[in-house]
Amino acid sequence: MDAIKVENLTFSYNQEKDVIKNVSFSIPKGSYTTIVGHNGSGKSTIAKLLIGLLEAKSGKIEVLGQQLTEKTVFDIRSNIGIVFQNPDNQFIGSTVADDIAFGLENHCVPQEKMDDIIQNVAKQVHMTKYLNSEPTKLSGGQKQRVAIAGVLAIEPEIVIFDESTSMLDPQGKAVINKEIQKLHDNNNMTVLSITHDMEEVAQSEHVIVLKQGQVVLEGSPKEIFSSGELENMKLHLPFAMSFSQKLVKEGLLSDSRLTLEEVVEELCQLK
Amino acid sequence: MSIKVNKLEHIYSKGTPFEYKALQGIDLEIREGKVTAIIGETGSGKSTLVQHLNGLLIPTAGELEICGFKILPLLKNKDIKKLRKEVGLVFQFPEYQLFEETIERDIAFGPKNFGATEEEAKELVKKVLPLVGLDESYLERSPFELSGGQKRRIAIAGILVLDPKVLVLDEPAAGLDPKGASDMMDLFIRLNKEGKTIILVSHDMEHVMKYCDDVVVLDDGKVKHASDVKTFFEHPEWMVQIGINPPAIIRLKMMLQEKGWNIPADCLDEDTLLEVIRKQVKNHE
Amino acid sequence: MNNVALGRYLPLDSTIHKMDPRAKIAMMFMIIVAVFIPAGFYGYAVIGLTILLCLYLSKLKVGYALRSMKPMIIMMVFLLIVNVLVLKTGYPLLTIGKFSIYSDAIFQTLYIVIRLMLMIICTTILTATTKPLDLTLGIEKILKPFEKIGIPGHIIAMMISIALRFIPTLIEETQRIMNAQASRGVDLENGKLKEKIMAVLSLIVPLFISSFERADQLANAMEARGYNPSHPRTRYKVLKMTTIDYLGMVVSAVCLIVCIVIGVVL
Repeated sequence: MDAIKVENLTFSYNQEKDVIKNVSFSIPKGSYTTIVGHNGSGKSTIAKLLIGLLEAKSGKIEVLGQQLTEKTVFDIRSNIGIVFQNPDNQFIGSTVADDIAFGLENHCVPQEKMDDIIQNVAKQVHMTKYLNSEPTKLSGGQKQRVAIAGVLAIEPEIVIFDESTSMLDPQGKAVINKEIQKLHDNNNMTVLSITHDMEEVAQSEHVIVLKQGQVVLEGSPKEIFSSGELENMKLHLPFAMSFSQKLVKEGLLSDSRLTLEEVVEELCQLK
Repeated sequence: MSIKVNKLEHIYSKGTPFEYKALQGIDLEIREGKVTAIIGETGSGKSTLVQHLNGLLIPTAGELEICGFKILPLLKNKDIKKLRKEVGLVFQFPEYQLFEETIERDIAFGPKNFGATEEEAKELVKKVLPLVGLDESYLERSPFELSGGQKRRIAIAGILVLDPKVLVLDEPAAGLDPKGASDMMDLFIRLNKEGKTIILVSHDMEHVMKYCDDVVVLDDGKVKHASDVKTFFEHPEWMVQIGINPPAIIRLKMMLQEKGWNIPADCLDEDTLLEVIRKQVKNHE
Repeated sequence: MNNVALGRYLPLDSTIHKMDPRAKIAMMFMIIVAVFIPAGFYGYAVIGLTILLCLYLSKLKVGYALRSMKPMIIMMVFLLIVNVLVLKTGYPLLTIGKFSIYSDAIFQTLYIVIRLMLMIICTTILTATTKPLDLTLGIEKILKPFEKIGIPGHIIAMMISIALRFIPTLIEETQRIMNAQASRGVDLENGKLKEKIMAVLSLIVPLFISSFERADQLANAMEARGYNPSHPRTRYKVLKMTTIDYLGMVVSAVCLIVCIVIGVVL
């Protein structure tokens, strides 16, 4: 079964220009998908449509086999967690523990179970030390980790990242990328991540490229990176990919590689 | 003339429970006409330091010299306004300083604050727009209907229009998509070629490596390293020490060195690295 | 901006910090009522002692509590000037030429200043010793009985708690916009009226725009995390009254009664 299935989705903010034009895609359960594209390509709009914060003009969205309607939206939200872009504007509690508890409270988790859940998810994102800290005392990356803990707490099957690393410094980015990978590998969650970060795209399984509200390309990271389409759109390739392409041209490598580790490994065999 | 910082200290909320010593004795010289990167972790004192450069903050102890101005502790100085015309400071997410109905009026706001007449200000706006890659058709538009990247250009134009000698930018590419970010950096390099001294607070080592001349590393309110960019990237251990992830090419180099490859320290660009790798593979054959 | 002491939580480990927010709100309510009873300087002495006791138990520094009054100083000076110019009753204290300062002017000002001081210290102790979320939880619980008559206690509490949560963020933001505009030559202190109006606008407009954006994103985040004001919710924090809470309320009640008695006798 597909975790998310989108059919002929069209959306416009003010009846003028369609921001999303007849978009269809499906995301298999347990997969890790990234959506890339420029600012204004409609990426974040898709995220908002998927969790019912915006209403489509036409088309259909199915989450775990259930069609998204006004009636099902609350149900569906208990199965989708989302981490937004701005770390500050999604931190609702006055401390880390309170913020993680916010989702639990909304989903009516009994009070006596909350402490264990909070401890457990804080541990997963390495924030146990900060449970009583206020948001102003945390870095952007730490706030995003709290947001992830908040998602983990309600145990959804699907988690969406809406440019969650774009306001972070490279350290924060790297940490959050690792956490995202862990959600997929260890927690068996279906991950959908909207991102500019090509290092993250490289670690995903499936990539959807969006341009002016339309899906222009879909495939594995390697297929996407090798297609030449990203360069046309002035999106950078990850360094490992662009450099290994050069090595291939020089006849030093048999095929382009997604990570530096793979490049090094193969080069060492040649030496 | 270069910018000289001498034993600069800054303490926030002195004498309260929130007292915090952000800078503890900064000694530094920033070269005129160059692009200097200031790097360091969050809380290392970068923002505090750059706010001294145009007198938004006054040192608690020590002094600095910039564009012929001397900034000393306890200084209450009318000259500070003049200094702000010479040193343009662009904060993080500067699009949040836009407030006027039209782009023309928003950019003209600065010059008028510094005493320009309506006509003079309008003239200056017309001159500055192409610098940030926008044309006159934007003049009458509202800044709020633009995209994020364009808004940021307008905000930067609002500082550039003052024609500062030194331009200080705090994370100017943060939150932009990759194309927006590299366009933004190209803009600063162009301004630098026209003679402006650029100071860049950045987390992005790829940008530092590609665009900057000098690097200053702050750690815990002190200068940890200050050198030209080449020397800096020849010592990747400096980055590792303060928890900064080196650029991908340096990481690749370090990984290869670890596996016993002989890669000279000054090999910093893709073509040289490619050449070095090819030689060692070929030698083996 | 960072020096603002009013309304800020100070994480210390004290008896008052550990008290139930409901008890603290009730105590503050009783003491403020006591302040408004015309019990003269004797009454203020009783209230002052009670507040000093709380201050001591809360481990807050007296200087800190006093500093929270900084924003009020201008108002107090203004009050003094008005009273000195207007009130001409009581006996003259000081005569310069034709102009005399009368005793009532001074006493009247002192009354108001002392009242204000007592109330401000009282609220400072409450906010400095109670986490914003506990405070709102306390308000929510206190308002609970009124939900039957249509006062949505939990929504009011949520609103207050979000407002409190965003105060530091907004202060930071204001500071940043002030700095940004200062870098464009804005001078909030000097300049003609027209320039000053522009300066204030250049601060307020961006602040409004970013606040609306924040509010929008926050609403999205809350909704996405399953918040629905009309749905039942469980609560993470559970409040529990202990001996010290009852003791505190008794002390404040005694203070209030003593003030009433003094007021009646006088």
